[in-house]
Order: sequence, then structure tokens, then C-alpha cells
Amino acid sequence: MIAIFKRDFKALYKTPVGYVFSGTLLLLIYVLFYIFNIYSVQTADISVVMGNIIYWLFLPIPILTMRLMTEEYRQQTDQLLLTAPVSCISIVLGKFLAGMMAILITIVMSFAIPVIIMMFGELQGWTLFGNYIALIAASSAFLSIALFISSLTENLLVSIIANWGVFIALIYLDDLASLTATPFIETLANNLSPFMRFQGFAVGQFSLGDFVYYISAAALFLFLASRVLEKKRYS
Amino acid sequence: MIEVTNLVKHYGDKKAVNDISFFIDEGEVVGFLGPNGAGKSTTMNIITGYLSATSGSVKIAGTDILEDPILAKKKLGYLPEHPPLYMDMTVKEYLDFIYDLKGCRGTPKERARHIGNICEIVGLDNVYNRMTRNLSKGYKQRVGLAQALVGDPEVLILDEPTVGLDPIQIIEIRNVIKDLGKKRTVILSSHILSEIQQICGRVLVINKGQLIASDTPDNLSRTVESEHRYNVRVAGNPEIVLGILRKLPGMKSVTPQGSKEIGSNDFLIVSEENQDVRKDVFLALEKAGLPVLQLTPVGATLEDIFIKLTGKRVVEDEGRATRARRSRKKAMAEDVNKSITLSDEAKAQDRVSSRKNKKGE
Repeated sequence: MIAIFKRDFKALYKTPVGYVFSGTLLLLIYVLFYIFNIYSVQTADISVVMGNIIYWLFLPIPILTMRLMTEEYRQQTDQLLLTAPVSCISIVLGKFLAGMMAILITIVMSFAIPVIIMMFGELQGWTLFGNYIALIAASSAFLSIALFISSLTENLLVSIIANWGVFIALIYLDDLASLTATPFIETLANNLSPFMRFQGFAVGQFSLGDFVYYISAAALFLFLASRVLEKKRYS
Repeated sequence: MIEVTNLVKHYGDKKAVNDISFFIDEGEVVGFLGPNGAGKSTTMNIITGYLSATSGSVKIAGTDILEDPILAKKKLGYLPEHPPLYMDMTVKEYLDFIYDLKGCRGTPKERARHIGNICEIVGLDNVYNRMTRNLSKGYKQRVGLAQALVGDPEVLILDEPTVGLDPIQIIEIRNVIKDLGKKRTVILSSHILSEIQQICGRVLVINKGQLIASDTPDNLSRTVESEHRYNVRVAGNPEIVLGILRKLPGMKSVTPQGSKEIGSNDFLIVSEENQDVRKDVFLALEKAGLPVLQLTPVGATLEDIFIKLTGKRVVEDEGRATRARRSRKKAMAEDVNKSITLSDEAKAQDRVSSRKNKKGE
């Protein structure tokens, strides 16, 4: 697992993929920060930025998972991993950790934001901390969903487009549910939608339930991705 | 060491592997021989745990590949058909990664020595720091072989290890495999008979997903080759030579092969069963003042073995054979012919040299 994590993380930043990912995400974070905290109203609360960035994660994350999973099939190196003495779950975990590392590094690079806030206003330490924790938890859920989708195909383009499709469907999940006008389905969709789950964080409230939701979603999809690898043997 | 029992693999309707069973002892070097699409790679993929079988079992040193895959895979080194290289790594980085991936634990010194040894064995020293993407096919194949050797596995499974290499590299790699086979159990696949004859102690012939023979290469060619065949090159008038050769006792057939060297002609002579005609040929031609420039034995080709082996099956099945079955066999024989003419190295080389000679004329 650690060998795969190290290799995949290095591979991300040895090719343009890692830079494209970090660049896109950072650009989004800083532009949103400028719009919501400097340009419109000058506020020290970055919850709104976080609430918005969550909707944009769908853009860069599939690029990461395409590289981590789909590329493996394309180069036929999955044969190496699957005949090595490692379990499918540790292969997936190694890849997930490599992706998470890339996300964490990018988030750390956005720490100019708290510095700017400190210079011009009063930093709300705990809110900020909660915001970042929520962003990381949500990213881990999105990353594992994308990893799962990317593990289904050998085609790089399909890998990215399918991911975007699923993310867009998830964004509109609650709207679609409200069309049915059935309270039960609406509640269900609101509880399932990873974007609705972020609403609390986006107004500056940290909710342990939502945090646990993201972590369990991540675990579920990592497990599913490992099943997909396992299933490849039965093709 | 390797125990394969009633292995069956379906791809949809197609039976890629159809009830194959065999046992390979410790220290054996075994060759899988068969035309393209015979099921060699599929069988190897199942043994290494990359694919699962539809039914049947595989045991590596007593460990079932499905029950305890990690333990079983620890004992295996596998070179797949396409060497699984990461194109963004140097050879050094790649082998270091494989060392970690296979869970080898050693001090940095031990690691360097282990990887250094392997590079020396397969001849990778001078490309050690190059990106794998920039290597030639032959070197990629070597990196693939090096990868299989990392961690000193007891069993090596090599899928067509010499494909894509130039003749010198082929000889080198064959010697490497022969050396490796002294300490390890090796399975390798090939569709080149001479290669298997040189390296392997035993051959498993696979066709259409079935095991059709398991024997030493010598026995196998002997069963096929009860008659002796030679290529003889004689200087002088071809008509006279033909006349003399045809009259010799014990001669089954003489076929002129045309001129491959200026002033001489080649003939393919086939003797009756268990007759050695070499002395007679030499003496008779010498008497007529026709010097023999070359007398080369022509070994059985994969083609011969296949026609003999699959032909036998047709006879065995005759009693219950249906028309459909016969046509399938026919198609199979055609398949075999096609793939073999392509693969027979010796023939190809012969053709090249004859072409060169013609140009010389």
C-alpha cells in the first residue's frame, strides 16, 4: 500500500496531471475568495467560499483519478499490481492516499487566505479550522467516488466525462427530488446529496453527522472500487 | 510445485481453456507450446492470479491461488505478454518500486545489491538511469524480466520472454533463463519450437485450450520424427544428382529445393523410417564426382508436431465425430498452419539468406 501510495503520488507530479489539478483547484479557491470575501462584501468568514468550492471540485478531481486508475489499465500495469502480493483494497487505498495527498498539498497552498484575513481583519480560528476539515472530508468522499468510477473504464475520456456526469447529477439531486413533490424522496435526496450535506458547513456550522457522512461515503466507494478490481479477474 | 487441476476458462461462449491439468515439479523448466490464441497466456494469467478460472484449481507450492492469494503470489515472479512498465519512471525507480511492492524488506545496502544482481543477470546495467519509455522493445522486455526476478521468487512464469528481441538478445535471454532454471521452477511460453527445445526439460503442447501433449522435447520430436530428413547441398548438375539420390536404397523422397549458392543445388531428402542414409548419400555422390557441400539435418517443426498430434486426435475421435466437429478440426489445422509458417524462425532466416544470395547473383 505504501509502495503504491509513494509511486502514484510521485507519478502525479512527474507529469502535468498533478500540476493541472493543483493549479485548477488553487485558481478556483483564490478567485472565489476574491469574489466573496474581498470584492462583494469584505468579510473574514470564508464559509461561503468553501460552500462554493465544493461545487467546483467535480472539475479537477476526475483528472486525478483518471491518472490514478484508468491510466493503470491503459498501460496494462494493473497486471503487475494484481499479480503482486498485495490485496485489492490496499491497491485502492494506496491510490486514494496518493490522491488525498495531492488534495492536501493544494489546500495547504491556499493558506495564503488565512494570512490575508489576519492582515486585514480578525481571524475566526475555529470556524476556519472547521471549514478546512469539512473541505477535506468532502474531498475524500468525492475522490473515492471518482476513483470508483474511474476504475470501471479503460478509456481516459470516458473516465473523465462519466465522472463529470455523475457529479453534475449529484449537484442537481435535490432539485430533481423536489420535482417529484414526494416528501419522503425529497428528504432522502437531501440526506444523500453530498452537496446538501455541506450546507451546514457553508454557513459556518460544524456538524459531526455530516462529517461522518463524508467519511463513510469515502469508505464505501473505496470498498466498491476494490471490488471492481477484484471483479476484473472474473471478466 | 505447481499443481493445476481441471482448469476451465470461458470468455462468454468461447472456451479459452478447456480442462487442463498438469503438475510441475520443483526445479523443472517447462515450456508451453502452442499457436497464437491456444490459451497459453490465459493459462498463465490464471496461474498468477490475474484472471480467475471458471472452474478448476491452481496450487503454488501447496498454496491455492484463490484461498491465500497473497502467500501464493509471493512465490511467483511473472512476466506478462506486455511487460507492465510505468513509462514515467527510470529503470532504477521502477525496480525500487517493485522491491517495495513485493514487500521485500532489506537495508538500503541489501536492496541495492539485490537489484544490482538482477540488472547484471539480465543485462540492464547501461540503461539503469534511463526512463523506461525511451528504451527499445528488447530492453523493455529485459526490464520486465528483471521485475519478475525481484524478490527471488521460487516460481517464474514468463509469457513469450523472447518476443521482440533481436537474435543476439534472444540467445542472451535464453541463456539467462537456462541459468535461472537451475535454481527455480520456470514456466515459459513460446510458439517457437527450437526455443523450447533449447531451454525446457518438458513441453506442454496446448491447442484450442486443451493440453494435447506433455513430454520432453526430444521425445516429442522423436514421436513425430520417425523418418530422417536432411537438406543436402551438392555442386554439379542437378539432374544427375537427382538421379543418383533417387536410386539410393532406403530413400523415401527427394525434393529439389533450387539453388541457394552459386554452382550448387539443394535437395530435401527424406529417408524411410529408422534408416540412416547419410553415408550412402555421401559415398554415392563422391563416386560420381559430385562434391557434397552441406548436409544438414532438418528437425521437426512445430508444424510437424501439430499436424501429427492434432491429426492423431482426429483419428481417435473418428468414431463419434460429427460433421460439425470435422469442419472445426479443419479450421483448427488451417489456423495452426498459418501461425506456424509465421513463427518458424529457422525457415525465416533461411529465406532471408537465400534472398541475399539471389541478390548476389
